[in-house]
Amino acid sequence: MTCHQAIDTDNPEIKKIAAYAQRGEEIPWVRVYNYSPSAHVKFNHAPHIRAGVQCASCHGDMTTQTTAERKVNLNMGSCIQCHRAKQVSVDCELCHN
Amino acid sequence: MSHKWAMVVDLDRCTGCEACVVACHAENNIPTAGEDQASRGRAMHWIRVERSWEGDFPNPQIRFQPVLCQQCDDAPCEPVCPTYASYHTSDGLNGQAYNRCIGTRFCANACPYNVRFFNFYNPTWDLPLNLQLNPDVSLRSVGVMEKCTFCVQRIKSAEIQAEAEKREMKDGDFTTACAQSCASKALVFGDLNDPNSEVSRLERSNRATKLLGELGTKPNVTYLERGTWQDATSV
Amino acid sequence: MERRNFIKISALTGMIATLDACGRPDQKLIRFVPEEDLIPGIATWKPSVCTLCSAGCGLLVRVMEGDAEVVRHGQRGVMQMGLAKKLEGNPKSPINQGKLCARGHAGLQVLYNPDRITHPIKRTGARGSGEFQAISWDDALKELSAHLAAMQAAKTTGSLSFLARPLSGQRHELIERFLKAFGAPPAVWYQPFDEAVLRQANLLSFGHGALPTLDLGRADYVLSFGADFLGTWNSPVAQSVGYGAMRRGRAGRRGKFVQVEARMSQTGANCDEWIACRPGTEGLLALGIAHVILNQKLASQGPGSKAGSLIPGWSAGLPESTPEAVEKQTGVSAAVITRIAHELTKSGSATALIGGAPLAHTNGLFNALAVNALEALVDTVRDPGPILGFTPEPAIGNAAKSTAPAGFSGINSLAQSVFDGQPHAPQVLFLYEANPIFSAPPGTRIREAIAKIPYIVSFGNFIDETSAQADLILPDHAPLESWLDSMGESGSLQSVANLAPPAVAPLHDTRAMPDVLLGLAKELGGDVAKALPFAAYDAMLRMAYVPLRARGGSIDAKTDDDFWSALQAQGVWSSTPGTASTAGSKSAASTSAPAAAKRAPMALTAPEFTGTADDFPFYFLPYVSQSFGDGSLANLPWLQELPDVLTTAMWSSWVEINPKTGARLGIQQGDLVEIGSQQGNVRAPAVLSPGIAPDVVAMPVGQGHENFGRFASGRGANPLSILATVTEHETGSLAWAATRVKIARVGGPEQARLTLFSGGRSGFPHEEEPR
Repeated sequence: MTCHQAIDTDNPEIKKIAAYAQRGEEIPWVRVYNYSPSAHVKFNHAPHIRAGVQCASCHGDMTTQTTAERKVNLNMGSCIQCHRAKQVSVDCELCHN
Repeated sequence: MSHKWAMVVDLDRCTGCEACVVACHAENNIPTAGEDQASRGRAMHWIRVERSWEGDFPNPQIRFQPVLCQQCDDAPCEPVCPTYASYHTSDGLNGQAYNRCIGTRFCANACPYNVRFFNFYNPTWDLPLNLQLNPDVSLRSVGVMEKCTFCVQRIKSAEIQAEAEKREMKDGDFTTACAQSCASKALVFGDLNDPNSEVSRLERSNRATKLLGELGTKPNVTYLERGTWQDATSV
Repeated sequence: MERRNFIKISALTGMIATLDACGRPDQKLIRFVPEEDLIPGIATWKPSVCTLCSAGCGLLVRVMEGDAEVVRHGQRGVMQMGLAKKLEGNPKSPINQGKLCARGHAGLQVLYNPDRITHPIKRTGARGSGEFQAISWDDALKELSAHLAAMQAAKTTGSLSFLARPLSGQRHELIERFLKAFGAPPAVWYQPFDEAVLRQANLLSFGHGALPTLDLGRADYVLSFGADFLGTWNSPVAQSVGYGAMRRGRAGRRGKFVQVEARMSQTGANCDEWIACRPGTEGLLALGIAHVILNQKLASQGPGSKAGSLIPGWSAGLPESTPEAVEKQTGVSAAVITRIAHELTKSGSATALIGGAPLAHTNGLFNALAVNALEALVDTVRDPGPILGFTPEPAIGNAAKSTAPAGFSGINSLAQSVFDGQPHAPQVLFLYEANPIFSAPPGTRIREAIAKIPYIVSFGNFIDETSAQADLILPDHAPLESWLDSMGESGSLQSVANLAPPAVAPLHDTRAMPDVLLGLAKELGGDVAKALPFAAYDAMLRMAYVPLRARGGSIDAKTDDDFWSALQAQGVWSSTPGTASTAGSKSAASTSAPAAAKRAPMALTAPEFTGTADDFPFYFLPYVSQSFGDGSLANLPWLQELPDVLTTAMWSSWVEINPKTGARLGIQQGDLVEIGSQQGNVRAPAVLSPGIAPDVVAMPVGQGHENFGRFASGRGANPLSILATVTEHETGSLAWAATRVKIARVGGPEQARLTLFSGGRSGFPHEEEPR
């Protein structure tokens, strides 16, 4: 718990977190951006970050959001479009293997 | 630098131990068929060791030959696929895009090496065997063809690693699961576009042959013929 | 619902469910806080040791985070933890040099096996009924320590018996110390295929009571008498590495390999020349070859050797072993005997070795001594040394092996003491991964004996035929969850010590067997606690292995703490190459060998068999299977589905019969046949094979379990169940190749249940795909 053991402990949201910690439970995070298993796709952030792709281009502008929601509807078309524009391989096996 | 992945199988070193077969299962999330499905011919061994017998007792002779997808340059499985699920990659592999596969099985029909396997039923794992599954490899479902990919997940990981280190991939950076396990070093994997790689060197051997090469498939797996006692030359 | 049914990964549990997850409400499981700090998607590689055979290969375990269903504080939930995804050979181990065999890879399925015992259980129903109920560790240990304390009070500690499969390293030491301090007899170390005969022969011939290390990469000629050295014998991975180098690792040189056996094994299939020899006469064949060498003076050095002196008539040139005489005894032609003798001595570096069936006869020791004498005659390269050598033992203080009798005689004595009702007959039996009810011949009556023992505790992690008789089961961790250590007996000319901490956290509510024993010792107090003053097993390991630092070798450390950390990180320590060559060489007698020099030469003995040739016309050869070893690996599905490399059989038992024999008896490929010995019958499908002599039938060991989990139970037949209780004359080892059988067709392929992997070109004979 570290920080919030002492800071803002009366906040109802903080109380929720404290309750999990007390029960030895991990907070059941819900994944917002993922792929369904039938997509057979693997995504690796590292080459994208090295290439200078902005977080917002795939995840939307998170700086103004207060709840985590999917803001950008990603599909294979959006990936291919960007890959073509940047002249990166669109070989199937690059992502589907 | 573009790559052309290939494998050399030295039949004089292969002992028939089948470590490659189990290593491949572990690496690639290959389902276990069980006795019932296996008796219907549905067991999947992406790499298998074939044996052929000659002669009778007391002079029988056996030869072992590991057979896997030959990643043919002129693969007969590619033109017959109606959805381009079986296609040729830029680095010389015969790729299998599971998403596009609709299960016509024309590719398996066309393949003369019998190295393509169809998921006739939905693979299941008795828990907790599923904990072993390799997260780098997709799980295939019913209705999808699968086959040896030359451990494409390792190829891609090595590419990303090399890119991160701002260098080219070099021979020996990584290898396939089967070649990594082969104790007698019968299986060697590498890049034919690198003239100094082990694969390139071995491919130039005078023992080199192709499996069913006369069919014109142009396989990227080269077999080095097994020797006899009188044969003292080696590469 | 998706277009195709697929393996659902539930978002909540993160687990893979079976197909009928559609429609089944997702269970909401609590998520526990992870106990480890892992980065998703990044693998760490941790060292470990393979325990599936005695070779002691080093492993690297690929550990990645993932969700697993676990129980914490009695509650079921999901936790992110390190999961073992793949095993590879540890490149730092001089034994396997980064390589791994088929069985080694399948070790992952021991850890995640669905039939593992997940928490302590106590018997509630009748013995063997399979009715158990859960018991907490505290209660279980209280009960057990009360039992042991009562024995101490009543002064009946001598009736505690510990039956375990052979263990190398400190687990062996811990068990023996516990038993000694408690006042119980030494443990019975049992496995069905032990190497007592070969170790004894090597002690007599070469002064080293150990399995040999073969430097095959330098060999030009290998003459193997029955040794499955590329499959299951001794240190198969190390030997395979050497074999590859022998064939194609040296430009312009290709070693020749000749195999002598009655049934073509996976190893034999690779040979350049295969010699079929009558079962049990391999020693005579070796002497026939030696006769030619001695009489024609073909050897580069003189014939005098310790090994030779053990053979009667050696110094006179073995007058009774002329090629013509040996031809009559062995069935191998005089011309071949003479030619092999010439080839052996003209080819450069040569070696003769023996393993497997030739040792499993009543004259097994004689066969071994004869081959060893031939080996000493032909393996004469001085620099850097002979092909067949011995691993120097690392200087771990208590590396001594058990002084108790070899495995099989231990089982016999155990059973006998129960039936005789001796004062120290076992009243309490501790079991650890030994399964004699499955693997010991029925003539030992071990099943009956064990049933009579009042209190049985098993520490293993599976129910098998023997542990099913337990009253209390305190399951051990899986090997990858345990501190493991072993010392390489063979496979490298460097001393090798393996040591590794657990690669993954325990998945189930299990406890490490060594820690359980240490806890019991502390509870019992007195001498037992004094003998084992360790809070946990790793403290005992540290004390044993840290002294290796003084020997230098592969780990360079300034302090004991640094050494201990480095050893755990690498998983293996090895001595500097070449430094121990004098200790390891055959010609120097080991200082630890007892005085055996004055032994009289062994008389020639012919093999004896049970059953007359009239009633039981065939030699029966149960052989160690490439998949299942001695049967203890039959519960691993990858190995069940692994096609046998010679027959492609999966999930099956089978009997190999020569095609001419089959034709004569009306047996066709796939027919159901019954094999009968004096002890009993088994039934299995027939496979016609040209690689077996017409008067031999062979069956792989490993199937035929009645109680060993879902993958192995009720499958196939167990050839060990019809073996006679015949032993090798001198060592008392089980002569498992000495049983004769008869064979008859009892049904067609529909009754036989033989599953073959058909794909690609068919082999010999044609393979039918049963439907």
